This record gives sequence, C-alpha cells and structure tokens, in this order.
Amino acid sequence: MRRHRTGQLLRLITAACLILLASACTANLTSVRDFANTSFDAAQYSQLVVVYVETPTRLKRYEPSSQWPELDRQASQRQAQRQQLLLRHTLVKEYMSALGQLAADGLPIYDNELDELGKALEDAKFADEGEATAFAAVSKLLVTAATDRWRRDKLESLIEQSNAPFQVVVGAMAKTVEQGFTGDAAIERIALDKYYTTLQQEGKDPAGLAALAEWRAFRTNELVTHDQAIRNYVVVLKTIGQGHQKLYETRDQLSKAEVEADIQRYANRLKEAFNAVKGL
Amino acid sequence: MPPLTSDDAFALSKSFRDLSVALGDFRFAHWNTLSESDRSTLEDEEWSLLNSASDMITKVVGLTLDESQAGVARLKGATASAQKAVKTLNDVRKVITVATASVGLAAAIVSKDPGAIAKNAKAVFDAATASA
Repeated sequence: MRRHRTGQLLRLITAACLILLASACTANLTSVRDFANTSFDAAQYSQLVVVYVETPTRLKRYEPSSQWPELDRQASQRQAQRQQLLLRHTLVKEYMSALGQLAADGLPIYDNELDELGKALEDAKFADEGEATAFAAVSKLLVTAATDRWRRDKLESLIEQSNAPFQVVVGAMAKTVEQGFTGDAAIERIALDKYYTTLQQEGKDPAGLAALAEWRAFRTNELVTHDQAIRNYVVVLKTIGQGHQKLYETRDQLSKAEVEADIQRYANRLKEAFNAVKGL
Repeated sequence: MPPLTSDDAFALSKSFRDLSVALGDFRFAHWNTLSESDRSTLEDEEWSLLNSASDMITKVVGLTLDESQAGVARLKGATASAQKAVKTLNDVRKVITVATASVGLAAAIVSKDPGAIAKNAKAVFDAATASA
C-alpha cells in the first residue's frame, strides 16, 4: 500500500517537473514579442522624414522669389539625405522583425529590404563613419540570423551582439528628430508668421484680412499638429532605445516574470506614444 | 575653425533664426515709419538669415557626432550681440548694418570658410557694439 502511494507521488513529481521544464522551454516571451512588434510598427512611420525633406519646397510659399534658388539648393541637399534617413527606419524595422521572430521561436526572414541595407552600405550612403559602422554591424547580424536559420536559442546572442550598434542607430534617429526636425518646424513657423504678418500689415480690405486670418490659423494648426507628432516620435524612439537596453541587461532571464513585466512596461509606453503620433 | 558638430550647427541655427525673428519684430514695430525700400531691405535680410538657419538644420541632420567644439561660443556671442542690438536700436540704418553683417557671417559659416567666418564674426560684433 505504502509502496503504491510512493509510486504515485513519484509519478506526480515527475509530471510536475516535466510540465515546468516544458513551460521553461516554451516560455512565450509575450512582452518581448509585443515590444518588438510595436517597435516594428513605429519604425514604419516615416512621415516626419518626408515632411523634413520637403520643407524648403514648402517655404517657397512664404518667401520672395529672390530666395527660391537657395531653397531649391537646400531641397536637393535634403533629397540626397532622404535615403539615409529612411534606411534607419528600415534597419530598425528589420531588426525588430528578427527579434520578434526569434522571441516567437520563428525564423528571421531574409527579404528585399535586408538586401537594400547591404547595398546602401556598399554605396557608402552614410556621412557619419560611426553610424555606418553601427549600421553595418546590425545589418550583418540580421543577414547571419536569416541565413543561419537562427531560432529562439539565439535570441540572447542577437540582443547581446546588436545592442551597442543598435543604440548608435536609434540614438542618431532620436537626435535627428529632436534637433533637426524640431528646428526645421520652428523655421517653417517663423516663415509663416513673417509672411502673414507682412500681408496683414499691407492689407486694407477687411474681408481680405479676415480671410487671411483664417488661412493663417489653418496653417498654424497644421504646424502645431506636426510639432506634437515630432515630440511624440522622440518619445517613441527613446523608448525603443531604452527598451532594448533593458532587453540587453536582462537578456539571460527574459522568461522571468518580473523581467517580462518590465519589458511589457516599455512596450506599453511605446504603444501609448506611437498611438499619440498616429492619432494626430 | 574645426568642422561643426551637430550640436554646434543646431545652436547656430537657433541663433540665426532668433536674429531673423528680432529683425522681423523691428520691421513690424516700425512699419509706419520705415520707407518701403528699408522694409524690403530688412525683409530680404530676414529671409537670408532664416534660410541660413535652415541650411544649418540640413547639416544637423547630416551629422551625428557629439563632441563639442570651442570657437562656436564666439560665433554664438556675435549673433547674441547682434540680436541684442536689433532689439534695442531705433535707427534703421544701424539695424540694417547689423543685419547685413550677420547675413555675411551666416553665409561664411555655411560655406565653411574659416577666414571669412573670423572676419564676419568680428564685423557682426563691431556693428552690434558700435551701434549700442
């Protein structure tokens, strides 16, 4: 009787151990996947790059024709920057796709965009050598992950090897948006104010002045909305960087409940900031 | 002068756009007493300064390095003294002198000509302080 009970107990313990082992092996890393998926979505948003590239052309609305050759020159310079700026988005997107795939124990995909990254590096599209090196490092890892058919057991390795160069690329993106795009928006706002104030000083017809005031308010609102999008996108990019840093620091314990909760907080903050951008 | 970093270019862009705003404030505040020609001259200088600020933003976006450089402080000092002069002066001729010197400085910075930068920074500072 006693032997029978001991046998049952042993079977129960063995079963419990097997269940625990299985759950450890198949921890679903929901928060890592959530963070990666939201970062992927956020990196697809490249509207701010488009607006920045087109600012000199839009400024022609406000400035006298004597300034147009200078604005045309700036427009072509920015057009030349466009690809590099968009490639940063592509890199983050591809990286987050691989991170999400590995967290789900899937295979990272080798697609055209990954090819495009390699070509851009060969063409030396980067003005900054430090960023070019970081870009090459992340890009190379992504190719290795896809061609060597990495799975979840390589997740820790991906995070570990990519964190430093990834931070360089995301940091460059955040700085560009925070300084460059904010400064760009401030210039457009000043141009708008100069243009409409001059017209309003020159105007005499009350109906014309009323129409001008309406247009001025309309254009001003557009710029206010754009400014809000810039501010929120800075939060998005900084949260992607901070969240990845957290992944790096906790890379060997990603299935722990408290680590999952921490990563989920980054994913939630990211969603909130990105929803604010999309909602504008 | 060493090459501009992104932080330098951002700071200078802000200095020149603030100067453009200060000139615009002067033009609007003295609108009825200014001749059409003076208004037009001032407005041209405002747009030139604003477009130089925009050009510096293009450089900010093209650079990601962070090291701070000495020397830029002198340039910011020159534009700050120009801005202060424009805000306190009433004489349009003096304001135009300060504005013209500032446009020259902005152009020299954008063209990365060290000799012209030093010469124009001095010209801005001299114009701003002589006017005070």
